[in-house]
Amino acid sequence: MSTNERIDDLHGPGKVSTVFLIDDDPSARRGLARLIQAAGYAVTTFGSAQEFLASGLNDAPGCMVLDIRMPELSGLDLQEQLLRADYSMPIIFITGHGDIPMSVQAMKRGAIDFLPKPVEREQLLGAIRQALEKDQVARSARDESRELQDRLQLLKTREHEVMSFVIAGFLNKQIAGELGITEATVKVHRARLMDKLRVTSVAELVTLAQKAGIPAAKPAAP
Amino acid sequence: MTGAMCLTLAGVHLLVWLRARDSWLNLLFSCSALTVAIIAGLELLLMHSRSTTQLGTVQRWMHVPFWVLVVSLVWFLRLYLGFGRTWLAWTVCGARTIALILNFAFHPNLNFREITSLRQMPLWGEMVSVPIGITNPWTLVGQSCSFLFLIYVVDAATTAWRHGDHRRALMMGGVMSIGIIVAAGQAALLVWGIVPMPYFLSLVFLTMVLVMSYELSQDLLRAAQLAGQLQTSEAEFRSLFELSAVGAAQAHPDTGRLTRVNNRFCEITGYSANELLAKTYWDLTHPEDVAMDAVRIQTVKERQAETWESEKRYIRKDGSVVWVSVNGTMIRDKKGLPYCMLATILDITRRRQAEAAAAEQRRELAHVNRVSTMGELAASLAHELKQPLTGILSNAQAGELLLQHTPPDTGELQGVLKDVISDTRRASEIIDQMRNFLRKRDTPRQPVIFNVIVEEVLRILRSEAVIRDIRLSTELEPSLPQVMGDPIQLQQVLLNVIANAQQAMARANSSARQLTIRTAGNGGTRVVVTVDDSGPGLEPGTLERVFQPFFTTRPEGIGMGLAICMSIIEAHCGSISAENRPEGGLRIRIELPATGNSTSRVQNLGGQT
Repeated sequence: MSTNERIDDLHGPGKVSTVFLIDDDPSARRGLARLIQAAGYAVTTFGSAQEFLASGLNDAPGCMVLDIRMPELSGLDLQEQLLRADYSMPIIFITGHGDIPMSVQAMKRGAIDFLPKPVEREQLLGAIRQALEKDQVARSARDESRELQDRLQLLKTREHEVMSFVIAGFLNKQIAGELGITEATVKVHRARLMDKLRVTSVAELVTLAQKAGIPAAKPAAP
Repeated sequence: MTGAMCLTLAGVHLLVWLRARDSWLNLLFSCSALTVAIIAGLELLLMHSRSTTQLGTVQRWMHVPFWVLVVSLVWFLRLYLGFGRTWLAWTVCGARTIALILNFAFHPNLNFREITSLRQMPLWGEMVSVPIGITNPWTLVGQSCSFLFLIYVVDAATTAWRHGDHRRALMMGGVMSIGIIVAAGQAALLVWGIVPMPYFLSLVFLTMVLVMSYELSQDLLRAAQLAGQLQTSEAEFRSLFELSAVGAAQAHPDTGRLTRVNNRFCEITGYSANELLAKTYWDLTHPEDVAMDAVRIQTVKERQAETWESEKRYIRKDGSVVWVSVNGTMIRDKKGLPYCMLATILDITRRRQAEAAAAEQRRELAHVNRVSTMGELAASLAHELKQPLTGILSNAQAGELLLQHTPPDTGELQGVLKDVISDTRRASEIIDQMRNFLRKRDTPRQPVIFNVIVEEVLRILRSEAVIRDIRLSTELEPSLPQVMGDPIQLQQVLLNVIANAQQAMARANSSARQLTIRTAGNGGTRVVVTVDDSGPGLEPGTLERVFQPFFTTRPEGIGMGLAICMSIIEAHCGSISAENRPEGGLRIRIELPATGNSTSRVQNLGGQT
């Protein structure tokens, strides 16, 4: 990994995001790195897929510009490995060898684009822009759900139970009856869980539960 | 009568000897015949002696011609048969000499101490004198000399017989032995007074001389016959020389001046015979071939070789060049000194042209192979070219962006230009290599480090390996000796071999495709290059056939690649072989002689044109 090509360009769209360029050919690698850098992105280059895997940057914010034909571990192999490990960094493939079956396979697996060498600037920078946006969207979505999970982690078992009844539309009295506790206690649990989950209304709570995939409780059989 | 006959024979052979001074046999025969004539005359005197004193004196003097006769006969036999113990010959001569000395020491002679009387006996109607007297015991010396002579003759004759010369051994040995026995016997009977009779030793010796003469004339006849044969064979040789469909020429061994040429030689060179006889061998030879030819002739002159052969060029009268194959030999005189050079000359211009045409075809084929290999590698080459092109385009486009910055980053712009320059060079090198590879002409032989060949071929094939998902590794000996060769042809060989291996592995569809190229210098005299693949290898029966033309295991292949490799490697005095590796896959092994090694004589694949 070479970090000297990384710049902090405040005007660029990827202030923290980095373009990871992986190509075994030194000429292509240097040229592409310089172009991406000149466009204002931070670039880190690798001479092989293994080097990238060894760097531990699999989950870093950014995108990958990946040569598809490389000795030993090809670009496609790397894509497959990352997918299997549930990493979702967007990938732009580049190749010196027009190969339609391969491009189809790559695109099916969610690649942003498949560009032939020598790569045109607008195509490449467009693809990078698109990839970084996608990464940011995915990343913020992932952050949101992670934060939600964090909040849900704070709930006690009883609070969970109370919540599942609340989102199912039960009244406090009904919940108390279902759980065999007093209505006052239900109110306390309810206030606490609303507080922990930082929601102010039942509607908000229902939305949150839906996002987090928490099922609503069903009334016990009469 | 005996005397006359002997004198005639002696005269004839003396003449022969005078004409040919080294024919000692004739001289010895002459002496023998002469002495027999003298002995005959003395015997006649003996028979007509009127007193005992006269008889004693004649008998004494008879020992002188007798001595000459014995010595002549001894050496005649030695020379004639070529066998006979030399020491025994000297002993006989010595004994005879002692007898001669004793003869003159005694009175009246060696045979008698005293001749008491003369007896008159009738012989062929005439009365002849026969000596009666007291025998001299020293006469035994003479008789033992005769005995020694007999032993010498028998020994010489049996040796000659054993060596296969039956007729001469029998004739000469027989007549001499019988002659000695009869002569010595008669002398003994007479001297010891057992049977009184006149001497007729000359008759015995005459028989001997006649047989000797007959034998010698046989030799003369044979010589005449040989001379006749020689004449015939000379005529045969001349017509063979003159009429031969092959050019023939004789030349002086030192100056090379032509001394004899035939018609065909005139045709080959375009000169007339008279014009040629005023020229030397070297005048005809192409200047570039003179040195080579001179060396070959010198080795024959110095007897390091019997004959010489060379393929060289003559310049014809009209200035055109004719290729000839010359087979020459040095003819020597009796003393072994070079007498003349004799050579046959064959016009091989057509063969040379055919060879040149074949070489041209081989070259064409090799070229077609290179073109088709390049065709098959087009995708790989495009891939390889696109790398520096990507570098150039991206750098240039980066440059455009950098110029929009204020202020432009000049350091980065310098980097852009530097990279553009080096990438352009790289692209240009790839194109140059392709162009060289596709060129039709041969490249001159030059010292080549095979590691460089490997690297250049990998430049073309690296992308191919990546595309085919083949792991390529090299183990190159750093201090590899050089080989003498055509770099493009050697690249072609390696490219064919590696391309074959890659195709074999691609068809095998194995998961671990591994190709290893190794170079090693075997003891500094050979360079060994191996290419190992992890493909399916070959059926044992097909291993020997892989280098044959049109052998292929690929449906789309024409099977010329490895055959061309073999012809190229053989033209480099090397060898190429295929074997299945024990761990699976095929190994192609190329061996080439290293330069500096005396065996690294390199032929030109194309031959001379």
